[in-house]
Amino acid sequence: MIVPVTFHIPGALREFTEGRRSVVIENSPPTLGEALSLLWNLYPGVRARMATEQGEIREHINIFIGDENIRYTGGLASPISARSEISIVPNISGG
Amino acid sequence: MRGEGADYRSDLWALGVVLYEAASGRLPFDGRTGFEISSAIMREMPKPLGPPVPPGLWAIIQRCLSKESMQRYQRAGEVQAALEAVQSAVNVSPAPAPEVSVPRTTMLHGVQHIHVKKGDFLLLVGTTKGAFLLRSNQQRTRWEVGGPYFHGHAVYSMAYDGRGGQHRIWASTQNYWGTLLRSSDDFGKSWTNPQEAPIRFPPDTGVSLKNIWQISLGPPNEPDVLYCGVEPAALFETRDAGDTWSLVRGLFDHPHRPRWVPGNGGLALHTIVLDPTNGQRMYVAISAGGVYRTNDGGQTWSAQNRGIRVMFMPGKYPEFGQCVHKIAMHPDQPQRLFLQNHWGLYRSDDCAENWIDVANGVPSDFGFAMVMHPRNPDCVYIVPVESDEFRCTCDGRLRVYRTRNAGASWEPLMRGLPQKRAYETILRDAMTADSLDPVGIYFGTRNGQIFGSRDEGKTWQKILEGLPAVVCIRTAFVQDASGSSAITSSKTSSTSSGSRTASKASPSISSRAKSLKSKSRETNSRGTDSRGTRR
Repeated sequence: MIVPVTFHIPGALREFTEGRRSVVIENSPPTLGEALSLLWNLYPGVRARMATEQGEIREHINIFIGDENIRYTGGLASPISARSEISIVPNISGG
Repeated sequence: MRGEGADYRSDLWALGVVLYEAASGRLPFDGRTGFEISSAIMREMPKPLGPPVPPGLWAIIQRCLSKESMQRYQRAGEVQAALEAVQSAVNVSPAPAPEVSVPRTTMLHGVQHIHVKKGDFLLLVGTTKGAFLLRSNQQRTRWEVGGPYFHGHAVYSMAYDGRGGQHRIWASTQNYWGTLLRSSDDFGKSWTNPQEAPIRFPPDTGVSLKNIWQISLGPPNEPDVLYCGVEPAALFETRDAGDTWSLVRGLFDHPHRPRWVPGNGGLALHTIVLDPTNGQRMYVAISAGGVYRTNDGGQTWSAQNRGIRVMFMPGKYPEFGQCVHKIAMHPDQPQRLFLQNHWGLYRSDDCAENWIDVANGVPSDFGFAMVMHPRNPDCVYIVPVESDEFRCTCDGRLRVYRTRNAGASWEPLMRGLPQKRAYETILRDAMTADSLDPVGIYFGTRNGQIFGSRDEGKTWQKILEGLPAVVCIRTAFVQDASGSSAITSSKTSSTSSGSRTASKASPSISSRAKSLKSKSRETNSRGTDSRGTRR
């Protein structure tokens, strides 16, 4: 069964997704890390902004699967369930 | 082709050629002779593929065709997965605007732009929340303000590059999405916004870029050479006008590096000083690591901190570990350097072999910024702040101090500057000098004010207030906005503005610049965005 995954793209990154607010990837991967590599292969500009050159998600970038922050669900190894909605949200920081 | 071994990743490169031809009907690298084609393969990127080729497919082709095998896909399975992802992706949001389909250059809308013409004089201002461009003429009395560029991004370094007939503004931007080096060839109307950060640490270092603290031009006769000082402390170099940057390994692999410690602003290489008479010699300053010098073009580096006192370590004169805030050199006396330390003002007369204390008659020897007069090698400007604990101008009086005898004495300059309740901080790159006559001196404060003097510091005027905290100021004198002859650039506070003057573009420089332009960018003089793509 094909279970699509939807990425919600924040405004700052839409320049790199051809203006798209969301991107659906149809062949559902089992983990967030694999879903992200599919997204990043499609839109490499998004990769450089979400992750450091060493592949770590940037400090002030939060990723949610549904309502769960992936910091508490296993990071990039977090499993993706059916019809997951993945949000990319910059943290509240700075003065 | 470069004499390196071929492996399966060479096949992935070949696959990139096939994919390119399949998608576009033409070959990625062209030339009239075998030599030309070989040269294109080694040095050039293929012409970008726009619609109807999906951007995802173009991204895959680009990665297959990376010059460095490490940057390609590492397994055929990865290419397969990527191609499947492109095939299966369904995009459910509104159709994109066509102008953003190749997101390499960003046009800024809703931003006030300046209109630059021949003979104009510019201030480049970087703040913690964006950049501004101020335009005036040689009188430097009235200012047109452009910006803010890069809303919400900290712009710690800017530079104006007028070498070889170009007029490019460089800026670094930093926020939670990362740190980028960007440039504009139309005085801020459009800026590059590269997909990949041009400056990034190689995988084996395990280190990630935090910020770019300094953008320095290479020698006037090498317009393709630039340097960047970054955080964590490291030096990057480009020899192709910023298309590709490489980490200077000689410094990064220095045995001292693990023992450098971050200062209040982080562990940064913030100052780069080139010796104009010796292309192999360069100085850098690191907080907190101290001054390092190379005499062999960056292969090896030595700590040069003899005589510089440290207040925050048990040993007062260690070999390295000093928190040097700024160094400055005059091109006419490259063996002499001045240094503003985290406590301490110093001069060296022997290429940084030894440093002597020159804090003679200053209210405090703590400070950040230090600027050379462009024509007088004995003249230096600083802005002392009270102490490490209270980094504000002494007694609430905003005063620039100047020496005209190489540090034997310092005099306060205050006419036109607030002398009551002026608790200001002038950071290390927030002061600069122009190269006009009489010389202009400019500085910005953490409270968002910009002051300038048109008479070498005798009198001062407030140019602007209400900006975010100013972290960087540079100047540019646009002698010919069409780019056909010389342009004077006053680049950094650490090196004199005069030292980077491309006063007469030699034929060889001009021709290099022309070939550079035709190779990787097209700029029209009206300043509209026609650059297309840049790597």
